[in-house]
Amino acid sequence: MIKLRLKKRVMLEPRWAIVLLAAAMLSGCGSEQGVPPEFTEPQVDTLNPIKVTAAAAVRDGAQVYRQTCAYCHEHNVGPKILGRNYPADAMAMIVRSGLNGMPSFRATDITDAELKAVTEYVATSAASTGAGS
Amino acid sequence: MNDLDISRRSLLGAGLALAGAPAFAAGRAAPLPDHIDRSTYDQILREFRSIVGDQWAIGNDDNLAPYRKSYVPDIDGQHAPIGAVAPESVEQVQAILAVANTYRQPLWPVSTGRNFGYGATTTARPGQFILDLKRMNRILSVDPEMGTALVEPGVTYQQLHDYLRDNNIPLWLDVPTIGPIASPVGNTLDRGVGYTPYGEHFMVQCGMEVVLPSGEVMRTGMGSIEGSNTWQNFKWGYGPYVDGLFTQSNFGIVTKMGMWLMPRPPAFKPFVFRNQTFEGLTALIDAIRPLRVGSVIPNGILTMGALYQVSMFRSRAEIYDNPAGTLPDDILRRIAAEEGLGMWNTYFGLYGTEQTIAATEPVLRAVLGQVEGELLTEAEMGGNRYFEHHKTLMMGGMSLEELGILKWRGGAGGMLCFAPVAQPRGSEATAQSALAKEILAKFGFDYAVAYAIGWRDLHHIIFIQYDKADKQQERKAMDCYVEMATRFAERGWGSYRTGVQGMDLVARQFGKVNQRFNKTLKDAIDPNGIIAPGKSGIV
Repeated sequence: MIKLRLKKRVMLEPRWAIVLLAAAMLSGCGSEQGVPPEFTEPQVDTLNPIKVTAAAAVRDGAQVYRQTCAYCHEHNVGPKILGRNYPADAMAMIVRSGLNGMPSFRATDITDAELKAVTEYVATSAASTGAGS
Repeated sequence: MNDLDISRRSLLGAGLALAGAPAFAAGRAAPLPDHIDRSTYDQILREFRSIVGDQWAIGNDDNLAPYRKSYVPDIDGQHAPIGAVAPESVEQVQAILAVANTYRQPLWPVSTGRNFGYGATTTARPGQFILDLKRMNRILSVDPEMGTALVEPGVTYQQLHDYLRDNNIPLWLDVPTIGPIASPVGNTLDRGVGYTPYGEHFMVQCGMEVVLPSGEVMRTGMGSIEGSNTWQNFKWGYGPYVDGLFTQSNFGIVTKMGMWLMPRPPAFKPFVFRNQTFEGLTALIDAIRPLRVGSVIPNGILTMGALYQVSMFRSRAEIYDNPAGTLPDDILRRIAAEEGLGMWNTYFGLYGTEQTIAATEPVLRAVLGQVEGELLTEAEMGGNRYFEHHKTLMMGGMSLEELGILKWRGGAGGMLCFAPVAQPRGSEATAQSALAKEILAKFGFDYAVAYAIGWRDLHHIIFIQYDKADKQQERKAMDCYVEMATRFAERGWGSYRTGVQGMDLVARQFGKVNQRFNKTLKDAIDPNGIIAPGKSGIV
């Protein structure tokens, strides 16, 4: 049986930042080609403002590898890629297009800067000892 | 090329090949809508870029390759998008909608687009921009006492998981099989399921913010009451309950979603029930149903076929040297035994305290002791990679191991899901399995399936695994899907969800009145037809 420890009291780290309030009313979208609806000013954020708890942070190469690549490449699903000196440029292309059964990853998943970092990390890291071939 | 046999030279070669012809691995370009010519398209793209920045609006060129990648068949090139635009705020979504309304340019919203067996970031009808909401990735609130969260569409399960861990919040997620790269919003809006007691994701959804096609922003449930703090506490609000209208539909763009999270229990015990014969399924489902209906087993029960399990980590070519026909049962039985699996492997858990689990386990043993098979725990199965995988899922943990099934047939990979619903009765499951096996065998595909036993329902998730680079296999996969969807519906078994290749077909099966009702709503809410035309067959 797995016993799970419960912490008695939980304290949130308040990293509050006020969300941007409603933007300027959109206008001037008329055209002969379509029939634009009448826009109303977005009102909900002023009604009940929402504070942001956490936004996704920019990740370094090791983090991207751990949070995405390793789930397959260290688990016998994809081939081992650490310690094999694969060229970073070719890997970047494969990440974006998804070679064979591998999914593709968009710039919204892994930014260009994160892609550069993770391919350099993979290209220069020593082999790992996890599962795989 | 075998994925596991990759070499430095082959990888370099693949990279160069992709550089020369990116569409090879990632699908082909799609045509523009009839009413939009090239100069109008260029104008739309310019206007999108002025809203989100040049980097986040992509035209119909090589940079669109990641969005074209899809594992479902696209025989006539009807499903690839013609561009993508990625806003980072509600205000940008509204501005994009204004442009889309002006030019009647359809947008296909995705949260993370990881529903791989259903189309990912491809579209039901041609001529659409992907509205990629992944950049809207803020966790807006987590309330440890209420066990609630409010998130944007681009928040992944991994991101939320890390947040809970880093802040020592004792709440569990409930994940689909690919939690690290999928999102709670996307999975819930497609009415996906998971594996803890909170596995029915739409049931534990609470409150939405929706940008309507007009650009208006609506909060559902209690979210539009001034000063309310119960948006994530009370699902129903007042008057018509509308949240369901924004799932598997195209009536609005969900930009915030509330959800309930399960308090981490003091104890959890995972089990697997292992059947050595296919025929054992009948008695097992009849025996286990009362345990699920009565919530003795509180989580979604997953009965995994041996072939699906094996294909997570092994390829067909290494097991069987004949690519034609279906994998013989005797070979599958031998490989399953090597892996510590039965022909059916049923995973479930007990959650509570040590005392409640100790009191409940004898009930399970008494009931399942009447059925052929073995009830096993960590004592016997600890370390087995399949058991460990399902243990992780039943605790809301992160895994991508099931992505392995995409490459069962090698080549470019390929997978198409057909997911009919039945009553959880042994007779129904047995009849569905027989029909599925017959049709799959006719087209030369293997029987790779899982049964998800819900509170009152049985989902039979059938994975048609093929090599998309082989055009003959792609055609066969599509034909196989159509025959299965048609013949199952003739028996009264409809789909709970379907991919972009089958949305019109399934919508017709649910009847003309339902179709007219959806169209009436669509015409009223989205008169220019700009949001995801063709989603669930609604145009």
